Amino acid sequence: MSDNTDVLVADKLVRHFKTGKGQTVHAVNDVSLSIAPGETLALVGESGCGKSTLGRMIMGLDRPDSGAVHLLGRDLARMGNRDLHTARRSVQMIFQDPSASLDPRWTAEAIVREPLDNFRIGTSAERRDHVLQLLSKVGLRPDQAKRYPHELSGGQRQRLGIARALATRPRLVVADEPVSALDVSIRAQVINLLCDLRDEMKLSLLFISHDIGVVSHISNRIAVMYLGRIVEAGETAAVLNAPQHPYTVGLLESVPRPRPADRRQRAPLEGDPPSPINLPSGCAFRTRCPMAVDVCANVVPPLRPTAPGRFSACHRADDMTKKELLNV
Amino acid sequence: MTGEPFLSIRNLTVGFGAGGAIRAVRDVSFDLEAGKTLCLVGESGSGKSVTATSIMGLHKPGSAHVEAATMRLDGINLLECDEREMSRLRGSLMAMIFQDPMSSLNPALTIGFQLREALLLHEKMSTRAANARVMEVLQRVRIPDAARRMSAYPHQLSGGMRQRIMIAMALICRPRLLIADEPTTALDVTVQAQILWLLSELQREFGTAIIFITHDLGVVAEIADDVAVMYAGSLVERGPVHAIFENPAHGYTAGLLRATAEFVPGEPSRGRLEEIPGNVPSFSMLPQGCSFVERCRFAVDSCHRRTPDWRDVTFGHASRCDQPVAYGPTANLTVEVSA
Ligand SMILES: Nc1ncnc2c1ncn2[C@@H]1O[C@H](COP(=O)(O)OP(=O)(O)OP(=O)(O)O)[C@@H](O)[C@H]1O
Ligand SMILES: Nc1ncnc2c1ncn2[C@@H]1O[C@H](COP(=O)(O)OP(=O)(O)OP(=O)(O)O)[C@@H](O)[C@H]1O
Ligand SMILES: [Mg+2]
Ligand SMILES: [Mg+2]
Repeated sequence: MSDNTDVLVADKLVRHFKTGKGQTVHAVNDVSLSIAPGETLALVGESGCGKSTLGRMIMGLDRPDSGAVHLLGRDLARMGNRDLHTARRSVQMIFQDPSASLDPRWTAEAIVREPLDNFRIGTSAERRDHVLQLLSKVGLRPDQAKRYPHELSGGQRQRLGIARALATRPRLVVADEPVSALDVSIRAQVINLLCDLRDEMKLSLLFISHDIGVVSHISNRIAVMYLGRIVEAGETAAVLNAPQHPYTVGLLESVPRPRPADRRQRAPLEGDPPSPINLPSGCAFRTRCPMAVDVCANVVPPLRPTAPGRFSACHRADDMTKKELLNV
Repeated sequence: MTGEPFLSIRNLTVGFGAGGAIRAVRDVSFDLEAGKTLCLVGESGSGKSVTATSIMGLHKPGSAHVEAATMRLDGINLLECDEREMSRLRGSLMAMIFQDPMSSLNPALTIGFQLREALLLHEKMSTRAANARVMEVLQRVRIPDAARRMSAYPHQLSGGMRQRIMIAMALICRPRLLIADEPTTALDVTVQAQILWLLSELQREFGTAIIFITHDLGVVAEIADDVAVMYAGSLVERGPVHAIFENPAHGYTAGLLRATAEFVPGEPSRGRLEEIPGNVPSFSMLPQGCSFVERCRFAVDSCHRRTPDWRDVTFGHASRCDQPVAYGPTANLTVEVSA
């Protein structure tokens, strides 16, 4: 495999859940994305739009109904158990709630060591050194290595989660809202740490978040999801400065900015997101869209290229430069 | 403004455990005028909710030791009210909205029934008149198709709609003080923007005083008139929102502002985020002197020795820091200590 093969390629992933009442939740609909070595792709979107479901499919923790996940050039679904085991080593996950994902009966040291034992990496002595090295890398002291998760603060627990995820020297890390549960005063520590380790270990990162501020800071590219679909994608600065989907515009306008001088004058988007059980016909965003026209109710807009490296799933993406149409 | 402020809190201290030994809130003082919004900000566990529930008198009997020099709301001395009087005031003069609406809505009763009961508890009126008021308040909080929603159960509504029902419930008796405890934290940003807007619209109309609890500085900038910053159980800074953001006068506030990742259209993303080192101390291990001293990059010797007194920075803006000049370029320091 050459060095610049995409670490991850997700191709037309679909995941629908059946509920008890025989209804279907359209969690992920036809999502494709790729991540290059060393690249950070941010996945943003509102609660329930399918971000975690997508992340779990990429991790092989959930199977797509259709579509394929290629890790390091190989189709996850076609791997035998042994290859799958090896592949798992190269993709790791960091979860939103560090307390829920760390075994409370294990010490910090044992938690980080577990994947090393599991994948039989190094000798026993090497594993021990490696663990202590990792813990110091994430800023945990040797005396804290003997502590249990509940004896650590929230920020320290999240750093422990990062140390565990990095133990096997993965190529790709899926971080699902890694700082949302943390206090503001320790978020910066954890974000900086993640950025440093990413650069140092040339990691690829899929960074799932709804915090535009954090995303603008950490990612190279961004994909915006709405009700199971990617509605816009492109380079982070380009998308955030000149969005090409009205949902992205509404999302950016909704983010409260820490600047009392420029308060907004009204709520930028009306209405709630529709239920993923009864999706509107055509474009799922049309029920809240200030630009919607007839075609939006009839035809699902495909994610199509609008400029080099830019994609939008809006029928009227070309009108987006005319700001007055947006009425926001 | 003449006379006493609408809400006045002086030296509020709340302890839990045997003899109130765990002091979750220490010596908190602030005022709030009618029609204004005070944002109470601070980390998890800093005592924001306990402050709120103490004003509302919502602690379980015997669970909390609440002490204060003054707790006056609209001329009423809350310290002298017994549980019956407090319960009469709750819902009529003051009301509270919680972060998780499901915890305060009864899953087995319809929205309409719960709203009507909340109203009839405080006001004598016919069922018919009550239903009309419920309809009106549901429309006010922009519940689409309000007549049909009255017979819906909480779980049949989206998160944003449930939070709007909570606001409707809090507002139905037209309280003059509304305490909102992180009411939008669980909501999506687009729905959060709607709720914040709705609250400020209702406030303009009814002149409600609002205490809004949050840890999101963006939300604070969006809605606050005044800001009170809490750290480890104490207020460390308070003042008008513009002063706090432009001229923070406490190491913690300044650190928070600098550590917040923000997207500014047209501006390139800053390099590394500025970190606040270390962690929030636990109540049992508060350092000597200023509670923020171990994480403060401006700390000097005296910060380790004594808890700083309040100092006025500018009119209405005060900080509990001996070095407030360090944080903002234009801090106009008067050494006078405020009462
Ligand atoms: N195992 C499951 N069974 C049924 N429905 C599910 C299941 N997992 C997820 N869903 C539904 O699929 C949709 C997408 O969920 P997902 O957790 O991926 O969203 P998300 O974007 O991660 O949201 P959040 O920001 O709240 O974490 C939601 O409507 C959710 O309720
Ligand atoms: N009933 C109680 N008994 C004992 N301790 C309590 C009780 N209620 C609150 N505390 C403690 O008081 C402190 C302050 O809690 P409070 O809920 O006011 O924090 P907060 O600022 O609202 O935090 P958050 O942002 O997490 O809601 C915490 O350490 C908490 O554990
Ligand atoms: Mg999720
Ligand atoms: Mg609280």
